[in-house]
Amino acid sequence: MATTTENTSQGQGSAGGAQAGLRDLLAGLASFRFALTVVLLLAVACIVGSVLPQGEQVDRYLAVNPGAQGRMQVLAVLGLTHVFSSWWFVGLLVAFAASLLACTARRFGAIRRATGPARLRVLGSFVTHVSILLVLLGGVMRVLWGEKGVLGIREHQLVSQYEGPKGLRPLPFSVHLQKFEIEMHTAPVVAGTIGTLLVEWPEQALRREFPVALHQTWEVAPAGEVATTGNTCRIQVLRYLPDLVVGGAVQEAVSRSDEPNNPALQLQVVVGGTTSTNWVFARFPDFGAHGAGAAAHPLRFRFVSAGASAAPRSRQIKAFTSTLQLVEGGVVVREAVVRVNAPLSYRGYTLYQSGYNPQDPAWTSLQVVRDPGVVLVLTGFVLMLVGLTVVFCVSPGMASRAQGTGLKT
Amino acid sequence: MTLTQLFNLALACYFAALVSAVIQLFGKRRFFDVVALVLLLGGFVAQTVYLGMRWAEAGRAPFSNMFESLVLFAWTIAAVYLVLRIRVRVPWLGAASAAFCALALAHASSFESAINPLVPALQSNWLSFHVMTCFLGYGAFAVAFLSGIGFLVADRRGSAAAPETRAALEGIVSGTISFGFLFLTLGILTGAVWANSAWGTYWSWDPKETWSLVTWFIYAIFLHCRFVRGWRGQPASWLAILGFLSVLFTYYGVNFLLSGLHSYGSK
Repeated sequence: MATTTENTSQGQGSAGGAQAGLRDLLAGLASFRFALTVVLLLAVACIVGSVLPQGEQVDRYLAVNPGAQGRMQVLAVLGLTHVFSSWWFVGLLVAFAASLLACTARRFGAIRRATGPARLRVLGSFVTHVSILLVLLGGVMRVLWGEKGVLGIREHQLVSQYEGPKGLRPLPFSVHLQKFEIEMHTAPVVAGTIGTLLVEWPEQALRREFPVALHQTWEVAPAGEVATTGNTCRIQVLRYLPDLVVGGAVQEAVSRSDEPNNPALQLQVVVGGTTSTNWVFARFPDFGAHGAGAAAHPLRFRFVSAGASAAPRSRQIKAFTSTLQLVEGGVVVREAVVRVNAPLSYRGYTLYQSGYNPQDPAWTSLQVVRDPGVVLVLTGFVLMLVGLTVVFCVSPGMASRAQGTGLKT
Repeated sequence: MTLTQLFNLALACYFAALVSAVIQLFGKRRFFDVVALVLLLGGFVAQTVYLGMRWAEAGRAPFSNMFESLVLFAWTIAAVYLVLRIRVRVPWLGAASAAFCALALAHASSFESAINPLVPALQSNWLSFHVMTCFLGYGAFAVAFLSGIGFLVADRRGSAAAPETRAALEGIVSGTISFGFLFLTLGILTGAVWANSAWGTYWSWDPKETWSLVTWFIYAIFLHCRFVRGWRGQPASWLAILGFLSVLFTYYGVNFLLSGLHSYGSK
């Protein structure tokens, strides 16, 4: 019997010791010093990861700096060429989560003890910490159970698998691309100055020269005179076409190429309350001076194109859209237009408009993503905003109302 | 008025406000304080009209390149200072804010100001929310930075600054950082939601994202040190200065030194 009692008290002692050890561990994890250390280490790791070449960047870096091969190997061994997926960075995130969890547990007790605006502040802080945990948990779910890949597809093709990081992966449905469209901006986008525009107004003895950029507007009045409707003109550059031709069914002015073969500006001119538009040509200055619309105003223009030095960029893409049908068991279950910023979700998978091939306008690539943690992450975002708003707006407002004073500093 | 005239008017107002505020600082004439405030307000109004007109002309929020973001940065600094000025009067802060706004606008004029069409990924309403909230945060952090410097100058040995001035600057540092932290968080989160709708990933460790997280960590440390540990005075001011250096690198340094998803911001 005595032996049994001894064993029991020994057992109680070791259980008490374990409890005390757990308490110390929790207190350590919840301590300000631990949290500060972990956050500082995470910040340093982030800086290292943003400054050193990471992942695929390493090959590009070595192509430019072949002498850095040895250094890169050392960095790779230390996990510094893939910081954000390295074991030690994941360890830091785990420590961060443990610290948050311990702090959150401690704050839960503090909510009950606090009163008035202070209670609201602790509650807001509690919600904020919980929200960060939710975001981290959502991230873990994405890493463990998420999928990501690319699906290349041509018009009228039916595809039911996509290219993942480890090869082809099946989809629980098929994707049919009905139509793929690329829309370009109507005017070519021009870098910097297009050229110079000389404006003459003989009646007002006015002569000015301006560097021209797209959509630019000038107001011109004789020097030394008070600007009035009668002596002021407003000129706006509406369009610039580097190689103007008139074509199409409606005889519309379009640019045949990006080469400055026939540079022309379309101007809107407002003089004395009358608005008119006319084209000014760099190669045919007299045609511009007497063209359509020129009779409506007393101005004369000369356009000197910067030519090839203007370096017009290729026409910029405005939008690209895929009209998709999702097919299951031979039946179309969903039909939608997918564009950048407007993806299509079905059965846990989301299809994003991703890429196109200028040489093959009937082909597009869609990004396929399955992220079971995204709901948790978005919930975390909402809770974080609610928590911070309570901490920084609601609680101080209540406190100052309770004191009967405003925020005085 | 044309866009260029409005831009120049705002720049001139901020510069004149700086001159008036400096005269007030040395001459201690209340009249110049009022003149500086009116000029700063005038610059802010001119800039607000400028942003509105540019928005209307472009048909989208004018926050998509370096020129437009610098103009917005100056506008948010002026906005945060003017709201603060309703409750607190610290002449040094008026001069510093006017200097910062003038500098940002002058620097903006060295970038291409043409209105260019947006690439498809930027054609989203999230762009307005994301950039606006981030820059409201940046504006608040800029004012906290200036107040932190002001506090360090006022707190040095032999300074003639009144204890009330030091207390006011200390209060502005923690108040503006709290406000800025809320908006920086909102900016990071709206950016993440936008990235998720455009690319299917809310976080990709892009240099801009990574540095915004570093900045967020620094200000989170500040807030915990200030409100949990009761840090005040010089340590808090130094942390506010460090935080803003991180903001500057996040906003400016990353665009030019590190490439990534946000590299269009350097144009």
